[in-house]
Amino acid sequence: MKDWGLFADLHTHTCHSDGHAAITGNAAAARDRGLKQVAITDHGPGNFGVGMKRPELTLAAMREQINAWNKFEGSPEVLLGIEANVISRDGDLDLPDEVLKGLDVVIASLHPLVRPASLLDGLTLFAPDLLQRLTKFRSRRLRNANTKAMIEAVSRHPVSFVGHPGLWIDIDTRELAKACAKRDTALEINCSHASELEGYVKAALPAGVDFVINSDAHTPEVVGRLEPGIALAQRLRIPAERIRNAYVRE
Amino acid sequence: MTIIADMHTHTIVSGHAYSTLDENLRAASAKRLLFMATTEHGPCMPGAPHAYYFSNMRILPRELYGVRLIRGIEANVLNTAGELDLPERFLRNLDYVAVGLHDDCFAPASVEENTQALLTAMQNPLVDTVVHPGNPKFPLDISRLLTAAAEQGVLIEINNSSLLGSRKGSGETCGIIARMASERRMRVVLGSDAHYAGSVGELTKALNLARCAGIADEYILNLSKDAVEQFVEQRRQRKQTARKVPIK
Repeated sequence: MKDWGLFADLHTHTCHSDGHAAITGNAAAARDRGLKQVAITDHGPGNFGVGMKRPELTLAAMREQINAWNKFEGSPEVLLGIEANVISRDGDLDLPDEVLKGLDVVIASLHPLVRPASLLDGLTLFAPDLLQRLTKFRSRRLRNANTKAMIEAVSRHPVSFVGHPGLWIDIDTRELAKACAKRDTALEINCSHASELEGYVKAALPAGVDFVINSDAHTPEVVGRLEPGIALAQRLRIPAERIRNAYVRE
Repeated sequence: MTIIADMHTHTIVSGHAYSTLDENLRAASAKRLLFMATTEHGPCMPGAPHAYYFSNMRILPRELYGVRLIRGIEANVLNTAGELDLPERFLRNLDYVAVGLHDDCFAPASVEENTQALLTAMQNPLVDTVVHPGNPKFPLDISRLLTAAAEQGVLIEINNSSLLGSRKGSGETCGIIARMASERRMRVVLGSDAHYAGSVGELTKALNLARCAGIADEYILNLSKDAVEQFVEQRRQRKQTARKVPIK
């Protein structure tokens, strides 16, 4: 196996959603950790309580701050992204495609605590997902609905990668991985939850899908903390070419 | 950088606050502040002190418990002519004059009128700061307000207690003000608006909002001893040299 490292952390939160620091805080932390790139990916407006308010205005202001950093500080390069929410069984996201296309990174995530697109979506998808997260309740129909919603989301929208699949929401990883491989969308190995993810990564591997290893940091101290993900990827012998934010050490 | 100044505090003298000046200063000292402005409401406010309270502030020590005391006021703008509720001869003796709109003294009006009132008040060389401009009760033309503030060297406050529910719905406008101030590289001031000693120096929410909007630390007055000293000195000179602006 080639020796590899990571040059980017593409999933971090700031005070624009439920993170704690300003953009510059995350950027400076990424620099301290020797990264070349860091993406600011706050929660889309759909999350109850923590989602971005007035997203278009906020994203425009964030873009200005990021441009200023990239112009005056230069390194690491800061990217503007979003952690968008799947809000319906048909894979609708909580921001329109016109907005998503203007961003550098789009993560699509399934969270149970989101404002659903319709009451029916809430009753048939998110309420059972929440129940499932809190109890031992399992249902094949729900698993299929989750899988379909996420596959639709990556098929219909410009999604860079799927955020923390394998976490909280019961999903058919094999099917999702196949669909993602076909559409050149990566799956995330989320370092904030790496210990729970081994089964999902194993299931996704045979489909030939790419991965991306991120911190999901909510404070600057956690930005660039990618060791748990690296350890998992090495244990499962994922080749560096299949990790989007990896570089091979000469 | 840490907070070394709270530029907006009240005592029992305001009539609806609960601690004494001494208690506030001790609290400021315990939080390692180097400056505390005491800014009682101007006389128009129900329960606020008589004008003599402000003229007699000269007897107060300049420093106590390691905290420099800034003799201030939160004066009321009374009308669109920018008239304040304390005569100039009293205002002249204060270190720091913050002004704001309160509905006991200025009936909430249109954006044009609210803005006009503050804009005219800011032309008064005795005025140093506009407090809680994010109050949704008094919608403002933020862009004009900031332009005028920059021209006059007047500070715009981000009020911490507005963000804790004192003036419900302030958060959004405060966010817009902070973003605009950040884009224009304007300096802002944070105020706790403490009405109890426990809240003196409590500026966390306002500081987060300012930083999140992209305002760099050197543009936040409360973070630098030199910045506060310079500001107070500059404004003192301006008050002395500026010609008296007639108030109709």
